[in-house]
Amino acid sequence: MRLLILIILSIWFLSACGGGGGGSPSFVHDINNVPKCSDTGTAFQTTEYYFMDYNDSTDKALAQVCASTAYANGATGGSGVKIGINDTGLHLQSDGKMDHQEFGDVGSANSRIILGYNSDVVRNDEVPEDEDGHGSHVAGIIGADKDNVGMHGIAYNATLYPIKTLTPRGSPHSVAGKYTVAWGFYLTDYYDLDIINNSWGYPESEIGVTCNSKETCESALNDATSYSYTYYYFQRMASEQNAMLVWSAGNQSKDNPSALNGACIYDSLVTENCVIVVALGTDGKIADYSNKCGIASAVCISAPGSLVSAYNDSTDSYYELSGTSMAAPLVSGGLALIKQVHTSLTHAQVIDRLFATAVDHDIYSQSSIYGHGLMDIGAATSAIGSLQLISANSNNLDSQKSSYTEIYENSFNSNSSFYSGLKESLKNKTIEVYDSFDRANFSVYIDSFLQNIKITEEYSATKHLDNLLKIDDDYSMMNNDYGVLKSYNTKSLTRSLFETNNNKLRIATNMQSNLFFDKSRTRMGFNSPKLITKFFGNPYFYNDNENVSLNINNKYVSSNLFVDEELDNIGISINIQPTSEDFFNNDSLGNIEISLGRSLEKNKILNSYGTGSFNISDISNTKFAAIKYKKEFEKINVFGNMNYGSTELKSNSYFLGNEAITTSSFSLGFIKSDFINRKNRISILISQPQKVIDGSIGLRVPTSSNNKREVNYTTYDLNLAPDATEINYDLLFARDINKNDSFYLNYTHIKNPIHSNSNSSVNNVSLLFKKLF
Amino acid sequence: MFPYFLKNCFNNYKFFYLFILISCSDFKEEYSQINIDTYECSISHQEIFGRDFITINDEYFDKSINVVNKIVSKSSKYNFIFSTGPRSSSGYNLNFLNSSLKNKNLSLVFKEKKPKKSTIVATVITYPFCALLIENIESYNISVEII
Repeated sequence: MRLLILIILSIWFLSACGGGGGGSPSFVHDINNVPKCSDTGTAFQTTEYYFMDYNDSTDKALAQVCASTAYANGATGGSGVKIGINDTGLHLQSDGKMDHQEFGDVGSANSRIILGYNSDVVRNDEVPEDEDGHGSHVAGIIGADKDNVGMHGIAYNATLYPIKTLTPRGSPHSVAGKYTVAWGFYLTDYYDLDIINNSWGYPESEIGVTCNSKETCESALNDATSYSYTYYYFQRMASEQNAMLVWSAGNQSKDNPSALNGACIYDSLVTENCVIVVALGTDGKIADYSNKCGIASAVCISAPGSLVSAYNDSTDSYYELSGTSMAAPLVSGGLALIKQVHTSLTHAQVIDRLFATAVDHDIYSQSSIYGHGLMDIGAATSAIGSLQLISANSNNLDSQKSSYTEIYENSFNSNSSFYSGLKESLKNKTIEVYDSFDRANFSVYIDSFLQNIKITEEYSATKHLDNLLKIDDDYSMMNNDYGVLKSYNTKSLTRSLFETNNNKLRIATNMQSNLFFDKSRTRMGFNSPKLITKFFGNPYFYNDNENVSLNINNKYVSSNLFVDEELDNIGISINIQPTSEDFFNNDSLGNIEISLGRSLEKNKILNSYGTGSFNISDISNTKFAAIKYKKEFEKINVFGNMNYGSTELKSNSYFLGNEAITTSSFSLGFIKSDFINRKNRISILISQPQKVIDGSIGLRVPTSSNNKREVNYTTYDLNLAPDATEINYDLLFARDINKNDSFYLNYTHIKNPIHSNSNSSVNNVSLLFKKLF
Repeated sequence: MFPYFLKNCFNNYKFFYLFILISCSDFKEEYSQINIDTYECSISHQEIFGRDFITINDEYFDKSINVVNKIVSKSSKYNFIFSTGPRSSSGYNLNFLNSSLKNKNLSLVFKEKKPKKSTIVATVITYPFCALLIENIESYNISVEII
């Protein structure tokens, strides 16, 4: 006895020690916990949505597979997807008209029920009248109308092909079959169906037991159907027509699905398009009657199947049925939703996606029971991994020539001259993007890629105050025999200017070297880069960081050169100054500068640039003309500045070449010294920032793709001209309190900011007191 | 010699003779048949009331007969329903065979037909049932047999 106890204890001890290497706790699942997916499409959670419920359960069939999330993701009930229902038919009147409100009027133009050649295989006609009710119920689960009446199917807009292959109960052939199922498969090919639902089985059979190979399972099916070519048709449909086959697993409480499903795991021609469905009970666990996934777990999934309420008969009634027959159509409808939303996926990929997104933790981690887990159609229609853009001109999703960039790596930064025009042109226009899992396609609005980082800061009070800050006041100066070098030291940017002693040559970094307006601005006492650009600058020689400006011979005829650090953007202008003989003292005519020039921008257009697939892959060419005028009276300095440009682009990215884009800008104003008394200066300025007057740009983006993985493009002709014109009104006032102290005021009114009449006007007031110590 | 033989035989087979005598006596029970002509058998896709049978005297009979009346073709006032309980598919059938009455014990015999092994069936849970009209049903103790 003592020995026996010792042996028992030893066995227990060994057992307790075994299995310790099973992995980290994160892999331990609570097999008593029934998890749920996230059903978030509240707008779709109607009474009709919840009608397909469990009798006394709070769980609802559609909610349990998160159908509303799929609807919110853009699945409009599987419209366009063709589903065959290989079953007992559909309740119809003798003339083929529908006799139930849930399927509208069969034969009408809008009907989703397609009857045709041999729809009733049993009676060899086109009216598959359901003499049983099973087929009608299955059809209701898949696709009953969403019409605020009764219930709606999971794929309420799918096109249904009822194919009567099973004879009704109560007839001499109560357990139908014969050759009819073979015809059902044949018609799948004939009607070019996408999905065929098979809520039927082979009693008292089991994969791995009744048959355990392609040959033996084929033999079992042929025995069951008494038709030697059944399997031939089966294979033909799967391999050639490429339909998705959905099978109910059977209701014999067995460890494996029915032998009819054998081809799903033993026949390589069938496997990738096959789904076996086991049924869940009202508690979310495997139904006590349902076969389990067993050795077919790789192609098996779980769905609610108990007490599912659906379409009944010729009345307006509904009733609840249970069985894997009810679980299978939920999955058929789920596949239709995936296929509709993600047109880029092959049928095999649609199924892979269904499996990959199933809820597979806690109890559903038991793959021998639940296969891939509980169907989560919401997750299946959501992005897996990250969303990406395909490279321009890629015509196939799987081509080696196609490359992808993360969605955040793609943007188009537009300058303000056409930002609002571009945004308006892109309104409601979409682009197709793809997730990194299987290149499932998603549609997003193109304007989500459109940026103008300056908008938020351009009109800010802080920015406005900067107008008055004399940030260039501090400079170091070096003299030599050739000229003077001034270095302006600021926190963020070093600006410098070298000027030869004879004024023939000026070289500037990060500032303009053209001094036509220098005297005016220094008179006023404001010389911030922003104001220089706003009122005096050449908008085509934009003053971003890290550039060089060169000016040769600042009188009569001069030339300006602008180049950035990377030598990507180069601009040149020839400046003619016909009245420059006595440059600052010509009281009669004033001073005029006429500029003609050209700006070449690489990967940019009008200082706008894209990243990723929005990259502008060529050089834009802007020809511009400018006229500047200033006249100095005794105490008043009047000036004006007007610019016109014409820009062309030849690109081979998402952006295409365009016709000429015409732009303009102007500024006009005066500065009066000795205003009221000698200590005061005042200036009124009116300016229009650069704006596109006319022109468009082509944008060719992917907008759809098909299940052959081919990408289709749409070309948008985007009008860049904004619908309004931004005008700036500036009032500047300066008062020298004493030698060291000054007071500055700047009031600005901006009408139609960013050239958009949808933006409210902006008013900014800045006050500055300056004291030198 | 002969009397001795008889005596021994009797002693050896006395229990057997006793059994013969008793069996041949006039002792017998009251077996009879009642006529149950009004009945109908069919299949429900919905659970009617669970397993076994229910009579008009049961609390849930009204609910059950409403389910049955939607399925059966004849309009009769049945007062007895028998169901096999859930079956795994279509293809199951139930038939009423006969009845026998012993004293007040009414025995009903049903025959269930299962789908052949090599046939195709719809994978829905079904509930085969028979509804019967039994005169004076309250007078009987009812038992059911399925063959």
